Amino acid sequence: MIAVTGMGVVSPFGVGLDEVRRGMYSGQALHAEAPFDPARYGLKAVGSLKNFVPKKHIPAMKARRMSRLSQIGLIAAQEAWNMSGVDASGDCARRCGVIVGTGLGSVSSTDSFFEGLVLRGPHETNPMIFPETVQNIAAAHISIELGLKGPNTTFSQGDVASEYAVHYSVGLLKAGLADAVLVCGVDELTEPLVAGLKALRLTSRSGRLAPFDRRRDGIVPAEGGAALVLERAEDAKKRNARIFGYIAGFGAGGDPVERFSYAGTGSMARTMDHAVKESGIMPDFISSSANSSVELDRNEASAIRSVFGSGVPVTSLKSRTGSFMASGIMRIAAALISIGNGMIPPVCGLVEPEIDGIDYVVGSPRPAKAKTCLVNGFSHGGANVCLVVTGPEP
Amino acid sequence: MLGLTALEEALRRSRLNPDDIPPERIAVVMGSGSGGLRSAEKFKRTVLTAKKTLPTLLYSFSSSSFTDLVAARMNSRGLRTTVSTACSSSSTALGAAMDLIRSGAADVVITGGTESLTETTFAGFSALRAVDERPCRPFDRERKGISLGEGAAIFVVEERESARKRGARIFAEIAGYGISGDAHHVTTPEPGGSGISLAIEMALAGAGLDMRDIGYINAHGTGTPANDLAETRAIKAVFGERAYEIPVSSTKSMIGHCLGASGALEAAACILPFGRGIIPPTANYCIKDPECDLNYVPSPVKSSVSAVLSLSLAFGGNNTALVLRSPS
Repeated sequence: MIAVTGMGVVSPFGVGLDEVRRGMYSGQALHAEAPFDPARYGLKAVGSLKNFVPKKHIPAMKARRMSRLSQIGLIAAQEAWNMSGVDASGDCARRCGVIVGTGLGSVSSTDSFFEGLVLRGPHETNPMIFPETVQNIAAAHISIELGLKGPNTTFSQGDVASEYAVHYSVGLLKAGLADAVLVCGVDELTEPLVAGLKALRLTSRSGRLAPFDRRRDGIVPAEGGAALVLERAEDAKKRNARIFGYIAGFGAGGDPVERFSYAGTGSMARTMDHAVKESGIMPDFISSSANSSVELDRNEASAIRSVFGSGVPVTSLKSRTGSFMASGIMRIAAALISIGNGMIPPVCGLVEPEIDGIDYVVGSPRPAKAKTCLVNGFSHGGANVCLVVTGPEP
Repeated sequence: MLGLTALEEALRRSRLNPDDIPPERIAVVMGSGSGGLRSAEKFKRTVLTAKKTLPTLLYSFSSSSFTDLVAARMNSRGLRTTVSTACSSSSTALGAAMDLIRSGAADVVITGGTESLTETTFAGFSALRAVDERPCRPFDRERKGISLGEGAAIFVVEERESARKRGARIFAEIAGYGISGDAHHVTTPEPGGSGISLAIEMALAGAGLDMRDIGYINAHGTGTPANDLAETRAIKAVFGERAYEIPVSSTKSMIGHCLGASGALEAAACILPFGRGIIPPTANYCIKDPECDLNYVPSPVKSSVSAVLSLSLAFGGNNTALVLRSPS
């Protein structure tokens, strides 16, 4: 078993895990104020970070040189790492890995570097921005600032980038290639990204964030970063670490579909089924991937119904935060908090479900002696990664 | 387009019929640095100059878009993922593909990488003063930086016995890989090469090989002063006195730095010594650098080797070492 011994989250709820604890049972954490004006893109509010002052968490000189992506990832990583108390001094650093998942990296850095190139010419470009355009830049800053020298890589696979990063990290630990892995999922929300999503007609026209609801009409974009520290359970117990929960098993698969389509119901069902079989545990609730996209929510709801019927309560964290690609790790952290609290948060905005025959959690938080959660990850393009997590007392 | 062309060649040579394999057992693991940035640049340029938006140019923007295309071409219903670590992307992808075969998660993995050269990349490396005006000269005393390139290399990877059973020609065996982070600087490698050494040690251990088994090293060899020196030091740290005997060469001296595709392209070059018994050279290598004093293979040499090491490094101090073995 792989134990979670540290968690850090920077999300539309605010900076830090406590903000998730406070916000995840309240209403939608969408803000009209963002680094750009959401109204220009037909959105009343977006899932931008609230009260985000990077220099409160990173020395100002360093923060100034980092993209928003790097800042968010590093702050989440610092919180998780400090919480874990893992020793990375001396040779231990070589046994501590950094694995990151990101949907698109720092789109704003690529955009502003290229804009400078077009408008001012090749001799006036800013060399400080260029390194921030590579997708592994967050992993670079995290490894540098925390001094972690072990296995280091970055995955990008649409909406399941961070779920796959967890999958890979668990493999590293099981193979004995690392003793601790800091795994982080991060994406930034900046104007060029929203402009692109709008051009591709992926954003909501009404601005209504309502997963599974009949009236949903597209995503409300968001940003965030979340990190976990993972260790083999026996190592964590040996050093008397606080264990927040365990990663019990995975399912991974895909469906050959059109560019912005999602896997079909059968493919999603197979992936969930695989995760449940591999972990050998029936989930007590499901943290869905649903994000108010017309196709994703419909396929996921049908798949859940075909595998679990109405037997397992279903929630959607993205119904509060909006949608960012590498949100899987934030949803794992939230699932472990729900298990700890014995309370499943409801789906916000869901009034009239399109697909019936499912136990959606709606209205007020539902008390439940939940010990396990299935965290679903379904990406545009057709990749699926689902995983089962359990609380500290399996 | 680069990637799909390479994919068709790989499929032809593998004589694999995707229809013979259950779709759930076909996985796709690709490496890509900047995905479809070239088209996204056109999108942005049109917005800036013509005030027009052409959304179809954004279709391939994400690094994983090529992975999804390959999955569609292969009718894959198995696991799919994309490694995006700039210049080491596709090297790590090959290693991750090996993991999937070893763990039994897939019967066939389509892996490799593709990268097209973009203005952003060219201007970026130029702004960092990392580009040599003349063709690059890796390991040479007069080296001044990189030459940029583009390309794609795709591999069909399967378990040895199943490849044998269907009578396929086996080009090489992916034997092991190692990945590490320098934890040093975003653009400069750690001067002592300790992160690179760690990746090499992991790769050798994973392959179950001793450093004495390695007959050729395909270096990252970009031609920047800092890269080539750090790499040389790492090779010396792992191989000791043997470092001076093993031929070390840079494919980038011939095709330039193909970024996210370079690891896969160089893995393809590493297979040359197995098939033809020829060690590929370092082109343009003329003047010996007192600090880079290994055998950099100024011209091709005949030699039969049973195992090779390929190194790939990236921004952020990301290091990958890949060990390939002769099929015989």
